[in-house]
Amino acid sequence: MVKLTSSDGESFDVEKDVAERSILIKNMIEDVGDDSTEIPIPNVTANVLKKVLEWCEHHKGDPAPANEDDTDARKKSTDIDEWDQKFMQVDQEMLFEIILAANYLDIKALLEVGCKTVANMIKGKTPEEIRRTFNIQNDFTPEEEAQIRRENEWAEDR
Amino acid sequence: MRCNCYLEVQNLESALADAKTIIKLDRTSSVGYLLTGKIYQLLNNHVEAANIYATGLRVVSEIQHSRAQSGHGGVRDPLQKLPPEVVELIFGYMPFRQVVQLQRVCTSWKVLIERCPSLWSSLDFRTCKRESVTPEILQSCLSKSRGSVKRVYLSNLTPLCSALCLGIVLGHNMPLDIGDRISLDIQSSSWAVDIPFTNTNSDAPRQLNYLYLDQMVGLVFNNWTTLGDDIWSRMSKLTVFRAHAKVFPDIVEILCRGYLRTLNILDCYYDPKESGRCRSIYNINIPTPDSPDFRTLPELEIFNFGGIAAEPAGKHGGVNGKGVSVYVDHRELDSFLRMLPNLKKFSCVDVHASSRGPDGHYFERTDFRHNPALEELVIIGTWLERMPTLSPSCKKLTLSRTSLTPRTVIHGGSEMRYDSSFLGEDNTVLLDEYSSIEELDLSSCEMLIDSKLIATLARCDPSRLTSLNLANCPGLFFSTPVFGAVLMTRIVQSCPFLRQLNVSENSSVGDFVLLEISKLRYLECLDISCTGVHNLGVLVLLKGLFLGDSVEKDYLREDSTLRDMIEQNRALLLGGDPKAYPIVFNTLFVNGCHGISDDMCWWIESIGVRIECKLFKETNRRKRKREDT
Repeated sequence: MVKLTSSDGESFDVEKDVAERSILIKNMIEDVGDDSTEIPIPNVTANVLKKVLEWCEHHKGDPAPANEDDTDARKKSTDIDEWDQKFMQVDQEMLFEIILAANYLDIKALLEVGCKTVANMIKGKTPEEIRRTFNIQNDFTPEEEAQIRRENEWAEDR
Repeated sequence: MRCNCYLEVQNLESALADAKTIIKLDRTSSVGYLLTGKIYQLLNNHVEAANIYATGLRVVSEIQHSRAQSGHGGVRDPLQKLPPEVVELIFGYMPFRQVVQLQRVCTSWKVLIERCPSLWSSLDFRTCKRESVTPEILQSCLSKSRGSVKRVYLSNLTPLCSALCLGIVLGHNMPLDIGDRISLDIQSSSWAVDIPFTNTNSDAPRQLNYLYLDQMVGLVFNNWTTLGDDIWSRMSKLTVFRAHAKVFPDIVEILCRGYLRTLNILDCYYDPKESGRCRSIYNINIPTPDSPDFRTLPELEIFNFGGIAAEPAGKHGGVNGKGVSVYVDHRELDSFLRMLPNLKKFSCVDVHASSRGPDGHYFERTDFRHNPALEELVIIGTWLERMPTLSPSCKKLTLSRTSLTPRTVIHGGSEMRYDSSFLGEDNTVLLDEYSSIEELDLSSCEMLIDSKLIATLARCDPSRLTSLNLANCPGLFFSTPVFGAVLMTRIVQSCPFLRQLNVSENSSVGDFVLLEISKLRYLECLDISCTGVHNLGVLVLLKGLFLGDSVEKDYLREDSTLRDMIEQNRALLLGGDPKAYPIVFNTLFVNGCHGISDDMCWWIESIGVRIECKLFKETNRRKRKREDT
């Protein structure tokens, strides 16, 4: 068992192989050489850490990810398996927190799932729809906007 | 508030002082400016009022702008919270076309996308609107990729644009780098271009098809000759399509490098208004060869030169619409072919020669004896007056859709006059070199007549000639009332070793002709599609081919007795004396022969001969259905 402490002081007791889905934690355990010490996770709050650990628990038996040199087509696919899809049904803030945590903790597969989820939110939407989805302000001047539009007209949907 | 009270009681001086205090207290508030301006107006100081309003507007808008920026930068855009490499990962899942569109969302996204070369490494234009992609767009995308381009997909573009884009891709960076990094995938419905550069699998044959559509494109490709030897050494085929004739010197230069295996020159044209530049490929000063590899081209194809252009001339000539197809000049062609001693195959499709002087320099005067390696000569759709002179190495000769007539055909209305040389009486026309021919294709030669054919065959070596194609020759088989049997007899006599014979699409071929064909003891494959043959003729043919003269002639019923006899003899033929019958007849084409019944087809199949008959297949299926139900 490993003890992890979130940024807001909450502690979690986790099985070692679950915690070691995170390369960061794995390296830390190796460095310390002692399983019993508490590992602080200063960048992740308790509610996010809980969620991340839930994911790690479910995926603890997963085989090692395939090599980097995936084909272009496979890399571009945004298919997410069913459990992960349900898992990612959280509010936007949480989603981005999870991605940040996965990036920080170096959990590649979770990071991928998070990025795919965001990508699916963007895919097929017009710029205006994307702005609404993420509450982004359009900070182009009308002239700038017209120019960008003109430059990229070829990529528009037919 | 006090300021407003002062205003109400018209104490303007105090109100002004208070309003200015408001501005001082909160520079970003528009209230102060508005009040101050209003008071100045009331004081009839309009200039000052305007100044205050202007200052107010400027200050307030500036502040609001900076607020908006800080607002969206820190909190509002969730993607801004993520490290750039994670955003890159997210955008990496997008199709290329949408990545481009994402630039329109906001400035920070635009900057991020523009500064991220990996998002530009796979340029996929396949789903773009036709006509919308221009070479400039490709250029700008390539510059954003900063050399990280791995793949460019260019389909569904207009041919012109694809050609230009190809030029850009090839011209981008150093040629050596292209070969290593870019693989190009161009597909289009109107023309197919193979991938010229792939960095894997160095054994794969490589092709480069260049498309030239007008002069402009030619200019784009001016740097193609600068591609390094290592690229040309991997190139097996060059197709020059609708090129302006001005690229011909480049072609010759490429030829001189000695790497090309196949050269196709299709549909080229020149602009008669331009003076100086060459009008045909052959009118070129051949440079002195540097390497021993020079002159190694084994395959050359010329398609649609001169005469009738594939499209109206207006489409060729670009701006002024005065393009004219390039004509082949006999003498120039001669000198060009002379520089290709290793040429193995020369195809010439729909090429029309120009005539010069009273003599005329028609294409067929070209002397192929200067190409000692020539094995295959294909001339299709060309005005031929005489048979060409061949080198003794030539094995395959195709003279399809050639007129094979003298220039003057019509005399005094409808009467036809044949040149004496054409009839084969002139020995200078038909040379002994024809003895090397193994496959002769004279299909669709409208004016080919019996005597000419016989004279030609007499020049061939009967022991060598194994394949003869006489499909769709309306001038043949009419010489006798008995359906051309006399001609067939002579053909059988002059080439008894034929293995393949095609007499399809000759309506005058009938059962008597088949009787003669049955004497070809080495025949393997016969095509009698669209001829006037009947069951009886086919039976006679098969009987003759399989049984020879051993069975009396009047026994003609497709029954099991004959089948047994044939089967017996067939086994004998296959297993017995190989010298007598080394080859057994095995394939018969009878497409569109109404005189042959389904039962006959069944029977032929049952004796082990492959039969190709479209009518039969259809009824066959229907019959099977009936049997099933």
